[in-house]
Amino acid sequence: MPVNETFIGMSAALWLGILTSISPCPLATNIAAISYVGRRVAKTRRVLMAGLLYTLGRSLAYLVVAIIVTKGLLSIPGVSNFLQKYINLFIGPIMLAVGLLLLDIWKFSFNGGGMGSGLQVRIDKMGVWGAGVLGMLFALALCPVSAGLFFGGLVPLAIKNHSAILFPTVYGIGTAVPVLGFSLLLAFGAHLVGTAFNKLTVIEIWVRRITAAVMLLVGVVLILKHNFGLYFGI
Amino acid sequence: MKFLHGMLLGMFAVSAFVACNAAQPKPQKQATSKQTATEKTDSTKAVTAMPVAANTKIVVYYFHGNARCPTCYKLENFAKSLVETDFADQIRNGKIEWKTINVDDAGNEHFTNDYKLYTKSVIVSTREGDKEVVWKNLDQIWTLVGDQAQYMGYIRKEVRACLEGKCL
Repeated sequence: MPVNETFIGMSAALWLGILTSISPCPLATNIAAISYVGRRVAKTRRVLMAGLLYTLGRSLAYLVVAIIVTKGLLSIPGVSNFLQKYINLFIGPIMLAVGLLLLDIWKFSFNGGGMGSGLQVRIDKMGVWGAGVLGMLFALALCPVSAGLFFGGLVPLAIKNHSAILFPTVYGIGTAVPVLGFSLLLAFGAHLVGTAFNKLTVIEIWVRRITAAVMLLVGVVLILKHNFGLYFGI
Repeated sequence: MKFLHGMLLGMFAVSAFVACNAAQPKPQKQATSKQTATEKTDSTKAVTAMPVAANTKIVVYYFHGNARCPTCYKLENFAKSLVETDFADQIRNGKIEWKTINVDDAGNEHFTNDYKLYTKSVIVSTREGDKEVVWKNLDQIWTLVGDQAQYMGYIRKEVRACLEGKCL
């Protein structure tokens, strides 16, 4: 494929990704992702890492789906309807669980003992990798817009250009661009304010609480939407 | 506060239960289409010009499921109002019909397989009497819906082409 055509195709794939992410449909998950990725304001490298992993997670998910359908392993309607119908059912409960974990109020007892600080610490350490998992999960939880643009726009484009790997990866990057941009802006903004007023630790505690609240709220909204079929205008 | 925690945990447990139950595959609802990506791209350019029979009728479908979204409403409302205003004469004399179908309603599941639906879709179906001779999935709707004029122009062009026997 000529370089020029590749560049045009990649730009189209990137645009389709951005178009997917700025539609109202994934708004709730985007807000959750922004707060999750940008929450470690005291550690700039961690925010960057989380953003990168979130993007990679999304790209990987789309890449796998694209390979499955372009190789004809499964039908487009089968894959699309399955992802839209079933993955979305788990998103809300997962958000709720993450929110509860971030709030440190999940104090189930296992074998008579508390959850223990060990597990809490491990979950916290997993935070940066959690961004990657979150990216994959949010990408797979297709909403009608992402299904339409991915299967109706990106996949035919990838087939036409014989690019089942590059284009879906670029599309995934496109879908993460707004989340990445906003979370970095928020994190660096909070970092600057925190450093200037010497309140970085306090700010990080509050950012963590806000992230937890956002996750809980998004979790509740998604549960009501997907598990109980209520429409909120998003 | 404890009540709130309890409520959230309860909600989590109930929703997880609902999710797990719903995730059990229901054989009668599983998609059986074997359409591949390559076939899909072929199906969109399926047809060439053909003579228009006297009993030719165009049905413009909008397919959706129980889960709605703001863009989905736009897709439906823009297309419906375009068809109803631009093709008012043809609707009156029975040449064109608009149908909104919820594929999650009992009895409508077959449309998913019939038209290889992978999301909310606008399908233009050309019929001669009771027989469907050709259909087309207007798969550009998602990239055009952000611009109402362009979106409506696309629907107008496609419906008109099918009306003239040129469902390209």
